[in-house]
Amino acid sequence: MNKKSAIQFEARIITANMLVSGNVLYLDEKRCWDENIANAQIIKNDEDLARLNNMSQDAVMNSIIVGPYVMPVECHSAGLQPVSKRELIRASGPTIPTGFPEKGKPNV
Amino acid sequence: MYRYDQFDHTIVRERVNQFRDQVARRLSGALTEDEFRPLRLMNGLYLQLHAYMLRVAIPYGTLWSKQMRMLAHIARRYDRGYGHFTTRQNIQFNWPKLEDVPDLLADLASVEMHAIQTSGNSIRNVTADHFAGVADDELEDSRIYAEIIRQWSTLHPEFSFLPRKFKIAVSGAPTDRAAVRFHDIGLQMRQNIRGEVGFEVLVGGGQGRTPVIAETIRDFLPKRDLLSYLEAILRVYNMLGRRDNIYKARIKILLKETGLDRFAALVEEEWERIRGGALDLPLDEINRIRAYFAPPRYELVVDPDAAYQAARRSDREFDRWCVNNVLPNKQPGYGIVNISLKPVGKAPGDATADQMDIIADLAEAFSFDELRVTHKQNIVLGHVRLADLHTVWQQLDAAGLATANFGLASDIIACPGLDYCNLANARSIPVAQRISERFADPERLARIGAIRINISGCINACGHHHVGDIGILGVDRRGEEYYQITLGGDPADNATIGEIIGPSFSYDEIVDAIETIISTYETIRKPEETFSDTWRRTGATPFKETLYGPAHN
Ligand code: SF4
Repeated sequence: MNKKSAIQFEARIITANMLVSGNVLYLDEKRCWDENIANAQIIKNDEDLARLNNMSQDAVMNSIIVGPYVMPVECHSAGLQPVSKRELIRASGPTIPTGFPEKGKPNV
Repeated sequence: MYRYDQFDHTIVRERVNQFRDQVARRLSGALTEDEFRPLRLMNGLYLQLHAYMLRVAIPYGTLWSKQMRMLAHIARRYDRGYGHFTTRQNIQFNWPKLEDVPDLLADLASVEMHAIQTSGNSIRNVTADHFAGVADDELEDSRIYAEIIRQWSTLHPEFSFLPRKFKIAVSGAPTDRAAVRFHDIGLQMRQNIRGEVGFEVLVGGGQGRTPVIAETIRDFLPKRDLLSYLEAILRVYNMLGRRDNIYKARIKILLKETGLDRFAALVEEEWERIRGGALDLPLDEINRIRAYFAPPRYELVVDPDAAYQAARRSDREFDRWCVNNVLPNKQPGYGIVNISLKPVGKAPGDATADQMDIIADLAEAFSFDELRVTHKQNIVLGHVRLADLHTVWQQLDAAGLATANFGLASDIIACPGLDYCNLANARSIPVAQRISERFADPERLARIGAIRINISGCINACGHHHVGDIGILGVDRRGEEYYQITLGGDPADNATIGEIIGPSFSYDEIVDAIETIISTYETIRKPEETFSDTWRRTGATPFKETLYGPAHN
């Protein structure tokens, strides 16, 4: 397990799974759905939340994603880190070798 | 082996076409996720943490080589080159893409396989003794009856929307290897005083959140009445089982609420109404199915094979594997080979596509083309000539499949846990890997002897932790993975639910805790005692003392 760098602040982002593949996705700064949590758009305020939620619902309606939800993250100097173990594993892939190259995600 | 008739082929093919259309409509947006979810679950397709997961049924765990090769093909073509054999004798693929699943199912259908009723509130894949047909203690091959039940329960219109999932297991031997006491219905073959073979019927068992040992609802059920009696149980459950609370919907809870006597009376009443009717199971029909499971054409072996004996004397590793992983087949001169899918440091139950192909080749060349998946997540070649064992072992060894740990401390049952599963609290697989590394030394494994270590990543208990000698349950403590230990569980004839031993351990502590328990057992056990024997004799005290110190008693 990697030692985490100091937390700078806590925030929230939006995640979902891709409809076609089930891959884990994050809503990013360019309003795209991105596999890399580092690019996730941080929710700044309630207005932002409403706007991003609307975008998520559009993506659901357009058959791009499934089951979007808001998740907490910690912002470190090294980037965004999920708070829960579940989300760490979602972000990084299984913690055991799968026979395939792992995604370049934060270490659990 | 049972082979599909025209009816089976049509059902499966039509289902693939139906699902292809449903997937197309989902991808086009014509179906919402809420509309699609029940449809995909009816076809064994889950959405897990990172990807879709497809659970493929392996009826009573039996496959022929061509089917295993197809599983290897699917692992390569649609997945990431491996699959996970489960505690319900099924296989799960962890990475299929939704758009590929119809093609995947069509490939499966070409070898008489499918994923129907591997999810949802239906009668799930019927499981059976993995040594059926080869163990010398059995009354009859349990797969005959598992197949009859499979045919009756597949797409049964009345039982497709039960209050909750429903699991049936069949054991044809007095020694229970199918954990019949931990199923919604367990069928244990018995002989009555007239020498007739029938079933003791057990009902209301299960693991999960509320573990319950099944109770006997009927001491002896004639084979002829098997389906009408099952139908009566299912009908009563379907009518009275709760649908308002998912945690109270299993038949075990209904039984607690009604009491066994009242439930049995309702079943008898319904059974009297329908027995001897359309569901009557005449001997002709039993014999028709029995023919599919006829023993293979064994050779008559008179003398033990000299080359085999010599190989055992000269090759220590081979001898160890024979001692641990090979059991006698009821046919003299043949052995039951247990292929461990628990190599040290690997994920329990996982096999790569290449390994599946090698196992299929070995089954074809040396075991009459047949193999079985066990609920302990291993593979069995049931009919290998002792004279062929050395060759089989060498090929397994070259493929990393010759770990000589069958039934020993590193032969761990583990569910996918938090590495894959959406419902998990904690990881199971890396805990199993670390324990297997700790107990990697074959001499130590042999000293400890037979022991069951079972790990579940959450209270759903897919890793059967309740019935391990040592059960490990992943729990969530403020977002961190912790592990609660239960001791003294037993899945078989002395069915017992393990007892929680004390406060849980962190991910970093759990392997040391298991080491402490096993060392304590090694210290206090009497000669010839199994873990269960010692546990029953001493109770929890010595284990609590070494785990938590004397103050915790
Ligand atoms: S026991 Fe829990 S974590 Fe493990 S596979 Fe079952 S549901 Fe998932």
